[in-house]
Amino acid sequence: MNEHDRKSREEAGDEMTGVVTDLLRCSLYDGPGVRTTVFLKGCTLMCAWCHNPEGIRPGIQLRYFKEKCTGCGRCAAVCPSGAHFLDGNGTHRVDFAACAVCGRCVRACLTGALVLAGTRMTAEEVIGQVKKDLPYYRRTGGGVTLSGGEPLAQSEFAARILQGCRAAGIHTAVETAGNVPWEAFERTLPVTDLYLFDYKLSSADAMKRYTCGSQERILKNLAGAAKYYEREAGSHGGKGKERGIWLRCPVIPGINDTKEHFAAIRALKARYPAIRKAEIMPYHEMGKNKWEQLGMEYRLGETAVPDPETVKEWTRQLSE
Amino acid sequence: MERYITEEQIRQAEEFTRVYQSFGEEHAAAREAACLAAQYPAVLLPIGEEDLFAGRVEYGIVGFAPKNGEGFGYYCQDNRMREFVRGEGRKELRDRTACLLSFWENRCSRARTRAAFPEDMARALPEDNLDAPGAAFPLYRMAGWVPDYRELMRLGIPGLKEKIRKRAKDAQGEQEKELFDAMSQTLDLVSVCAKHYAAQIDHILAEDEKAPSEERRAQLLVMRNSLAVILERPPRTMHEALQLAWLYSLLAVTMDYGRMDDYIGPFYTADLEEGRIMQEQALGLLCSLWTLIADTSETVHGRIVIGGRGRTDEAAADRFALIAMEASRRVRRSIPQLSLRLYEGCNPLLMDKALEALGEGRTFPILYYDDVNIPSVMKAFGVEKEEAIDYYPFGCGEYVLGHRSFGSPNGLINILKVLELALFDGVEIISGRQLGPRTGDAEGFRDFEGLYQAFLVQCRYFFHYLALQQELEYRIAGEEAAYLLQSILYDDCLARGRGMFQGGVRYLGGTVETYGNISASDSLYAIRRIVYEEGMCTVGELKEALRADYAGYEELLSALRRVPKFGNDDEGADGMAVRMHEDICRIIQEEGRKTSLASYLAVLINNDHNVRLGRAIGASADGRRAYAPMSNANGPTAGWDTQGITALLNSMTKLRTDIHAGAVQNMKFSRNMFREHRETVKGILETYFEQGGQQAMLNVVDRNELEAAIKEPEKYQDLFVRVGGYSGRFVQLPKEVQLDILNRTLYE
Repeated sequence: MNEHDRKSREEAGDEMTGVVTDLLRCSLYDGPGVRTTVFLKGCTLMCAWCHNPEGIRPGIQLRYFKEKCTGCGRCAAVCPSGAHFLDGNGTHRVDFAACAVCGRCVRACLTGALVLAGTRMTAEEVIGQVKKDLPYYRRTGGGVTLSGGEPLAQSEFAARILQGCRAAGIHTAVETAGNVPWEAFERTLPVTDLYLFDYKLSSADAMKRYTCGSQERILKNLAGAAKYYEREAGSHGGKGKERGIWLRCPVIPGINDTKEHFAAIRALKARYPAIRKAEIMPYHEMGKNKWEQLGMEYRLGETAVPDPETVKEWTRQLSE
Repeated sequence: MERYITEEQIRQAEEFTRVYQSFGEEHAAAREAACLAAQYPAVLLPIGEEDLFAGRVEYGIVGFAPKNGEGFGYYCQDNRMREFVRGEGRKELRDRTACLLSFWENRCSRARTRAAFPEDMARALPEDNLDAPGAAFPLYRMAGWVPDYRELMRLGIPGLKEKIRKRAKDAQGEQEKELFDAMSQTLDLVSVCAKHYAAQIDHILAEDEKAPSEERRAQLLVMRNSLAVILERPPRTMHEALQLAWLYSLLAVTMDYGRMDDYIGPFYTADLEEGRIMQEQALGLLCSLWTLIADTSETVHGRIVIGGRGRTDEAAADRFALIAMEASRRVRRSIPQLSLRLYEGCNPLLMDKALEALGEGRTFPILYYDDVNIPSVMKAFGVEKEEAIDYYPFGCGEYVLGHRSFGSPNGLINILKVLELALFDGVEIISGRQLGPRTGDAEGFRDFEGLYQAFLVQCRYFFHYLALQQELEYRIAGEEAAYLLQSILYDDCLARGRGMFQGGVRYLGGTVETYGNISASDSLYAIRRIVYEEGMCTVGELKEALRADYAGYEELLSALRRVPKFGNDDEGADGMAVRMHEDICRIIQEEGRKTSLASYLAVLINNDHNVRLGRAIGASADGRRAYAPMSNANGPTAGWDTQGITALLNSMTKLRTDIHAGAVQNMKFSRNMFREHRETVKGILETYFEQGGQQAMLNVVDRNELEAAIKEPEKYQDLFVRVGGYSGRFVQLPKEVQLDILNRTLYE
C-alpha cells in the first residue's frame, strides 16, 4: 500500500494509520515471553537519557549513519532542499532543519547511510505483522508490546492495534511513561493486559529539569490504571496471562540513583497491588550516537555506565 | 590423515594386492572375503593407553571399504601415494608404491566408475575436483551404511554365523553358495580380530616390568572378557555390547552408529539395576567410545542418534540418551555428531539436557523433530509408518531408513551456478565453457517465466545425469563386491541371497546434495522484481553487471540488495524459495523415476560447500559479489536475515519437508539469551517444531567471542561451531568459513 492509498483510505474512515519507528520481532525484553514490540513514533517527554531518540519526534525524519557514508554526493544531487552538502574537507554534512523528508536521498544512497526513521502504517498492517508470530506467543506466554516514543501519544491508533491483537487472542502490553491525558488510558485500558510503566523520577522538579514532564499527571494516571486493574481483577485477559502493571525504572547515575527514589518506588509497589513488579533499567550509552544520527543534541554528556556491582546494589535497594 | 607411508603399510598393500589378483572377477564374494583377511587384523592399531574398548585402525593405502577418503569399494589413496612417490622417501619404498599405484589407479572402484561413464554423462559431469569450476559433480562413495545393531546384539557373532549356516542350506546355485561361504568366513574374521586384541591384552598383562596400574589392569581384564564373549555368545552387559558394536563397526567401516540408545539402553539399565555398573562408570565408557569415534571417523560422519519414536524400550533408551548427552558435553570433539530426535510427549528431561549442553556452547545434540520427519519420510521415500519411524540422519544429515534403505549422496550440484547457466545460454562466466544445454538467449525471454523455465531445463539436464551416475556407481559396486560385512546386517540381503548392491537392499535409493539454493531463489526473486516488474534494467544489462562483478553498476547492486531476502518472513522472497524448492525436489524425483533407484531425493545439507563452491562462481543477482560464500543449506545468506529468529523460523517452515531426504538449519543464538531466557528459548524451539520445523542446529556463542577467536586463536581452542553438516573447532576452520559463520545473524 503506498502513502497515497493509505491517506485516502484513512480519509474514507476505513483505516486508521500511525507512524511506526520500528517493529521488533522476537523481543525478549519487553514483557513476558516472545513478543513483537511495535515502536510508535512521537513522545510527550524529552528525557535526557533517551535511548530511542528516533521515537521522540512524531513525524518521519531523516537519519544519517556517517560511518556508512562514502561521500559520493548522490544525495546532494537529488536533494531539492539543499539539506545535503559536502563541506570544505569533502565531508558530507546534513542540515537536518532544511530536510523536507521527501526520501529522494534515501533512494539515491547506495550504502544505506541515509534512512527514514518512521513509516506510516495502518493498524491492520501492524496487526498483520504481529499475528505472524502467534504460535510463538501461545507457547511462551508472549504477545505484543506497544512501545515508543510514547505509544499513548497515538492512543486511538494504539487502541485499534491492541483491540485487533486482543481479538486474535494475543496478550497485549503497552510501555508508557504515563505523561498523557487520562483519556489515553481510558481508551487503552480495556484492551491492555499489562502496562510497562516507566517510572523515572520521584520529584516534580527533577521531572521538569530532565524530561519536561508532569509528575502529578504521571502519578495520577498510574493510580488510575492500578485501580482499574484492582477493580477488574480476573475479568479480562486469558488464563494465566500476566496482567497489571510492571514498573520499569531507568536508573541514571547522578540523577535518580538515590535512596529517596528507590524508597518511592518501594512505596508505590506497596500501595498498589496491581503493580506486580518493579525492574531496573540501568543507564547505558547505546542510544548516544543515535542522537547525532538524527541531528539532535545529546544532553547527558559523560555519564558513566554503572558496573554490574552497582546495578546489583540498586536491585537490592529496590527489594528492601 | 597421516601422509607418510611406512614400509609396513606398503607390505600390507602388496599382500592385499596379491590376494586380489588371485581371484577372477566372477568370484567377487570370495575375493572380498580373502581381501578382508589380508586387511584385518593387519591394519588394526594397538589398544590406546586410555582406551576402554579394543579397536583402533589406520586403514591401508589400498584396501576395501564402503568409503575411504574420496574412494570406495576397492579404494586406493592415490593422491597420498602420488605425493609419497614424488617425495624424499627411500627409493625402494617409492618404487614399490609407484608399482602399487599404477596397478590400482585405474582399477580401484572409483576409477572404474569414472571409466564407465558414457560419453554424454562425461560431458555433463566432466570434473571430479570440487574446487574447479563446474555446476554438477559426481561423488564416489557408498556412504551412510549403518548395520542392524539390534540384530548384532541379539545374535552376537556365533548367532549370526548360525543364521547364515541355516540360510546356506537353501542356497540356490554356486553364486549364492559362494556368498554365504564368504559371509561366514568374514564373521570368522571378526573373531580373529577379537582374538588378536585379546592376545595383545594378555601380552600387556604378562609384561612384568611395565606393569600397568591396578586400575588399568582391571580395565584391561574387562576388555579381555568382552573380547572373549564375542567368540562365544551374544553380549549381556553394556561393555560387552559396546565392544562388539565398536569392533564390528570398525571392521565394516561404519562411520555412523545408528540409534545407539535403542540398542545399548537396555544393557545399560540392566547393568545399573543389577548393580554391575554405576552411572559415572557408564559415562566413562561412553567418553572413551566417543574419543575412539572422534579419532577414527571422518568429520562429516560419526552420527549417533538418540531419542525418537519407535524405540523398543523407551525408558531404558531415554536413560542412555541422557548420559550420551553428558558424554558429548565432556568430550569436546567435533564428532560424534550426537543427534536427538524429539517428539510430542517425549521425556522433557531430554530437551532440558540438550539445552543445557547447547547453552554452554557445545554444538551437540543436533535436534530433530519426529512428528514432522516421520510423515515427511513416509511421503518422500514412499514407505509406511512402521518403516519411516526408523529413519535417521547420517553424515551431514541425509536420512536413511535403518538397515532397510540405502541412499548414498553420490552427486552434488551448485544451484546458483545452474541459474547462471540459464542466464548465459548454458555458458559458465568464469570459464567461458558451455556447461549446460543451450536454453536460449536470456534477452529473448518474454517474461520472468521464460527465464525460470530455462533454469528448470538446466536443472533437469544435470539431475538426469546425476541420477544415472548414481545408478551406475551402485552397479559397479555390485559387480565388484558383495559388501559382506555390510550385507550380513542389512535387511533382505540374506533372504534374497544377494549382496547389498547386487539386489540385496530393500530400497536402494540415492541422494543429491544441492548447494546455493537460497542464493538462487533470492536471485530469481531479485531478477523478477528489478528486471521484469520494475524494469530498472534489462536482462542484458544485468548480465553485464554480473560479468563485471557490479563494478560500475553500484546503483543496480544497491537495488538488487534491497529486494527482500529469504529468512525474513517476507511473502515474496519466501514464496520464490518455496516454488523453486518444490520444483527442484520434484525434478530430482522425476529423474530418479527414470532409473532403477527406489528413490532419488534432494538433500539440503551443508558442510563448508557454500564457501567452497562460492569461490568458483561469479557475482549473482541477489547482490552477492563474485567468489563470496553462498547461502548455507536451507538457510539464508549469512547476515541477510534481519527480522528476528521467529521470522527466520517462519521462513524456514514454509519449505516443504516431505519431498527431500533431509535439510539442515543453522541458527546462532547469544549465550546471554540462553542464560537468561532458557524457558523462552525452549518455547521458541518447540513452537518451531510444532509449526513444521524438522531440524535445528544451534550455535550458542558470545557476542564478541568469534571475533576475538579470529584475532587470538590460541585462546579459543575450545570454541566449537556448527559449520553446516559438521561441527568444527572454530580456530581450525579456513578463514573464509570463519567469516561466513561470524556473519551469520546472531539472535539475542
